[in-house]
Amino acid sequence: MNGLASTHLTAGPHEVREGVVSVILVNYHGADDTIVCLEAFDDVEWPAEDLELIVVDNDSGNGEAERIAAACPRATVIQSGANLGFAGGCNVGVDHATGQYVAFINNDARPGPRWISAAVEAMRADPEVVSVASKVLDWDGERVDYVDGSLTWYGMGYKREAERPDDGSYETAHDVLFGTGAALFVTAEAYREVGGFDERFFMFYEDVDLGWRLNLLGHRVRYVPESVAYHKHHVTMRKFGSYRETYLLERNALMAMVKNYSDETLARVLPAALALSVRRTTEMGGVDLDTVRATPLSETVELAKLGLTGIYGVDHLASVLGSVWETRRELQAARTRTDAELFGLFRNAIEPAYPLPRYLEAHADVVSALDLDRMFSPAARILVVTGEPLSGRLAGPAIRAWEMSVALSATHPVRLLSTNGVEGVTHERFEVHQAVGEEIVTHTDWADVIVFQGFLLEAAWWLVGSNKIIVADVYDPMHLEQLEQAKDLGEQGRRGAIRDVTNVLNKQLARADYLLCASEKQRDFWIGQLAVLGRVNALTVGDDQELSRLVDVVPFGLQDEPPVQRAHGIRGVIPGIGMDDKVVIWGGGVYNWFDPLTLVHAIDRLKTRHPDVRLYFMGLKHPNPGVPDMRIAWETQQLAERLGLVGRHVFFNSGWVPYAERADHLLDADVGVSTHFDHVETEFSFRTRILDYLWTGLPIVATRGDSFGDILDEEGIGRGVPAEDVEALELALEEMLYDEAAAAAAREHVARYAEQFRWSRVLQPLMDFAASPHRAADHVLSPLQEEVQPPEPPGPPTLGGYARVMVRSLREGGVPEVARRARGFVRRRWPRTE
Amino acid sequence: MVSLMGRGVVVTTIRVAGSKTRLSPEAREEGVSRIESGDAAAVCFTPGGSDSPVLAAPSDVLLVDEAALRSIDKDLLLHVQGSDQSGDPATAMLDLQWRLNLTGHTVVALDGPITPRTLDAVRDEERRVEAVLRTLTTLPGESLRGPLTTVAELYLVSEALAGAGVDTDALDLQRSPGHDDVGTLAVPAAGVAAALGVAAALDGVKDAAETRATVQRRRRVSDRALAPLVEPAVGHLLGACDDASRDRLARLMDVCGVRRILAQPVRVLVIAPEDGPTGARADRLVNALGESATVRRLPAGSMAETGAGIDALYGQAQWADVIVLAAATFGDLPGAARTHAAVVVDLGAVDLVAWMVRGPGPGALEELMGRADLVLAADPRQRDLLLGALAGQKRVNAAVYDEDPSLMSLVCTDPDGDALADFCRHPVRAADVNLPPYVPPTKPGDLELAVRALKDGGPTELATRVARRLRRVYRPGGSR
Repeated sequence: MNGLASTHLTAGPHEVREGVVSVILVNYHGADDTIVCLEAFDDVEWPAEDLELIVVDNDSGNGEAERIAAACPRATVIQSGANLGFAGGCNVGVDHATGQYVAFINNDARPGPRWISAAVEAMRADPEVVSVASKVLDWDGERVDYVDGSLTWYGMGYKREAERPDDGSYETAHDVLFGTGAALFVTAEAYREVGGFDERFFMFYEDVDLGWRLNLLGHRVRYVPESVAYHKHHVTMRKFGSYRETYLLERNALMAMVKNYSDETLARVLPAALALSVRRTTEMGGVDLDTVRATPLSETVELAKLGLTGIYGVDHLASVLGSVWETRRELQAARTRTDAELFGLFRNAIEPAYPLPRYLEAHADVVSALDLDRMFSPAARILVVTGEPLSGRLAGPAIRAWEMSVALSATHPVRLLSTNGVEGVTHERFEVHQAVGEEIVTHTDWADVIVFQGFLLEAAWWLVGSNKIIVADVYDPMHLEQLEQAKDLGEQGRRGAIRDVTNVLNKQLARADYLLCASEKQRDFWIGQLAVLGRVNALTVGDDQELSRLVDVVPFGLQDEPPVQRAHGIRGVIPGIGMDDKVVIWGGGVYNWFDPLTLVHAIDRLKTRHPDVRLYFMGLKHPNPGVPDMRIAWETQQLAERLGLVGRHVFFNSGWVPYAERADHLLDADVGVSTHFDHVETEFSFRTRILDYLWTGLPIVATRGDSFGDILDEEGIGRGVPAEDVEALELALEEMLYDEAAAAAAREHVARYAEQFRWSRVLQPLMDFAASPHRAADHVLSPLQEEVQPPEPPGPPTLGGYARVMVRSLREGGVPEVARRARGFVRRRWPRTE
Repeated sequence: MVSLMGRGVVVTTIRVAGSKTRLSPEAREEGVSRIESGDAAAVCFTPGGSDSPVLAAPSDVLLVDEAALRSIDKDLLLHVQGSDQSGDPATAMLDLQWRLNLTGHTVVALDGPITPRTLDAVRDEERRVEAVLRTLTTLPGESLRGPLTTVAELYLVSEALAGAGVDTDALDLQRSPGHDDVGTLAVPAAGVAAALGVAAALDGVKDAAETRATVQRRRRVSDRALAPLVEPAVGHLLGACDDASRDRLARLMDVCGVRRILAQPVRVLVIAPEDGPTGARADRLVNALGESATVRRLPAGSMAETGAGIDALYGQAQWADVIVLAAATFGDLPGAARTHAAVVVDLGAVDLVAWMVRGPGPGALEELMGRADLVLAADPRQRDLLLGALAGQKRVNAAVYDEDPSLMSLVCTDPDGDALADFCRHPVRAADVNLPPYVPPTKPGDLELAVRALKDGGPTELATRVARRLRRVYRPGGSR
């Protein structure tokens, strides 16, 4: 690296003794502290023959070098001949070192017994770790000095944990951006290869710069809590005015930025950092701007030195820019890690760090104007949106959205948004919000990636023309559901519902950058619908010809944690269901595409041979008030009544079991059941209730024809039966309930089969996408579309419109109703002003 | 005559607030004639002005085609004219000239005097520096903005300190030990004023970001096309008024890589068949451009293989300042339509009808006409055809017509390839680039019309208008 940066680190050759640690201290007017530090090495657990103590005296004078040598004969004392600062002094020391490892310790610090051994162990264990950052406590060992290095976006290192009690929270080794020069290890080879400390820094932030440089050149710096040192802290600087330190901090932070940031990052942040340095320090120094501004340019002003530190620091950068930029060129050419890869090690880069009002305001404005928050956050911000209410009672879509949020929030900032209400649900890792209409803008603006189910593109129409990354979760082919569900609306209503929902889905398929579906069969269906929308094209078909770039299978999942029954949900709780009864559970809602009628008939037949059989419907009332009560639910209850089964063999929960309590019900069952009509919706659907059966180990009896029904026998997890076949259903239930061997075998297979559906596995495609989110190729690379306009607002009122309202009002309530509406109209149109 | 028909040039005079410079009638006449002839959209008068284009030159008076001001933020004019005293008029004048260039208008500098400016107090210098930094934050493109603003801040701060003879090592423990008992320093106000201006610019950073977004969205000329003009303009902006200060500025620009960026010629990407008349024409273009541009050539039909090399092709489109589609379509260069590059649809060696019949592909012609900044035809008849195609894509519109009633700047014949080469050397996006969306006016409702009638003439007027409306709607044998 650039020789100007490390004048006192010569090219060598250098003797290197394997296993030897060369400890380097720099002394400047601190002989008493230096001697205490050196004497502490008598108690360090490290072979004396493998320890080399080197003291570099930075021209202290007053016989300090001689005094140190006399007090500690085993230390080598080198007189540098000038005050080279900490950086230059260390480089002199390393230049004389013969150890395989070099260690730096401040002269006002002392080593703990395992300070050396723990550090060397860590470097020996992993060759990528070329530097160890020791844990540094205060002199008494009670409070933290250093346990992690944080770096602001404007190049200032800081220690977030400083002054906190050492309470056991900092005992985990981890990678860091930099260690503190107060106690730091580096392999001698790496230190010399990267050019050591940058002597242009003199002191302060040379350790930040070194660690940053090591990292971007592909090495690792590791915090090792077993390597402990104790530090009095800043004894040296107490001898000087505080402006000395501030000046060095300000100018060295700028130099570190210029050296280590990539071209793109530097171009964005350096101008703002220069300006903020002046703002910060003038405010720190109490510069009276009003007075200064009124001063004629021909006169002088008296300013606190502290207030000039930023200005002079900027000037210093200008004066050394040539040499610093030369170093930069070499470093940027040699770097192997990107800024984005290192931003996580900055910890909290958007930290203003100084409580100065005008500075804080400017800092906030800069962060906002340059979007620095987003730039320094390595992970994309993800908004998960559901149209389901979020409460203790979660239905399938809400569960899915919730589990996605849980998984994604392990590695990304996440918000979970419901457009249908939130009540009493929170999570420690992500925010839960509710919003409707224009309120949604705040959340879509925040997000980089939006994962949604349902009707979001209708409510948030602006997303269609935006550059946001949109992930459409189309695991539920709603238009196929409407074929049955909308029968209750009459012919025109049904036609309209199917058409409208198809349009909604087409809009999602046209706009989405990535789509999630529930099964391979469903995926083929969606590919067909994508094709007719022109989304199957040269830009979306990957090399594998599988369109995996555009649509992936993410089935419904089951929880990683095993179910726990805290109380009986059915047995001994529901009147008529005893502890020894055989319970068949219908583990979800009752919708028009299901066939509970055949099931009720089967139970009716089964009860004659097995009076202990019970059928329990877990929930009739969907938690989403927008989901209507369906005809089939009413018919089922009617049938059960007519057959005399209600309260004796068939039981209905008219509400909905809270999500967190469903295990109490499911674990009270012997068999899980799902029956449906032979219908196109069935073919492409994914029965989420089956996942609950798998989670709780229940053998399953279900109609064939959907993604699960066809594999029940094949996988041995239950029995599949033809649609509307009462006898087959009766026999299958009998076998799974009363044939102990068959039931036990099925349970064993369920336990095996269930593993592939853990949420942590099924969500992997989404996690992979979130790690590298992107717009779909055909959205980025195809010609521009028409600009998306907001939905048409209602037109201006017409006389005809008013006349129609009048006539309707007359019909509804006569003259008084007309008068009432007229009064309301007048109040709204010409509100009274105070 | 054709080029001026309907042009109706109106020349506006803009003066820097507080300047006492007066233009001679001859100088004014010279300037106006430049504008009316179409040689320039604006003329400034600066000492040593050599009748050549400038990005920005110090000037107290600017003559400008009023049409060219339409895309300029009116706030900027207020700053120049001193109506808004939060700005610096002289810097605003430089900013104005630069923006005119960005919107595709040439500014020519003629020789003329300017009034020397004097800044009295720190406040004045602070305001000037704020204005300078705002200009450099909003106008340069993305690759130039960061390095240029860095250079400006370092130059302004260090130049002021050096000019005032300030010892800036006084706080350095290494270079100036001692005197730690004293907490203050007496410094020349002129030395620190610029630094305070750098900090003061932070107060407008959010506004500047919004202004930048607007300016960059509407710009029609890339930085590389203006590169030869940038360094002198930056010198003027930063007040580098003698050789020594210009040298120091040049060194900073060197170190920070600004000069390296400015040295890059315009990048031209040519998508053309490898042979045939169009291929030969592409070869002639490459030769004609020589070292004045960096040219890459890709064969038409690069998208023939499904999914092959999409990212690489997109990277090529992102690289270019000008994309020449010679008998090629956007299918040959995915993503090109969405870049900021100027697009030339070169059909100058093509039998247009045969090409259309052979099939550039469904929708390809619409895409080309919708996005092209310049369309080149082989002969006048083909030009007419292409003009019709452009009209169908709403490209024959007020913005394009007002700037050039002949519409030659949008579509012209170019049998020899000269217009193509000229355009590639100095590409300018079409005048209708990134216009704000059209919002149709809302019609008033019946109640509003009724209230208006009452106000105009009372109940009688209302009755008359209602009767007229009923007669229109319920005409015997009419629509209802």
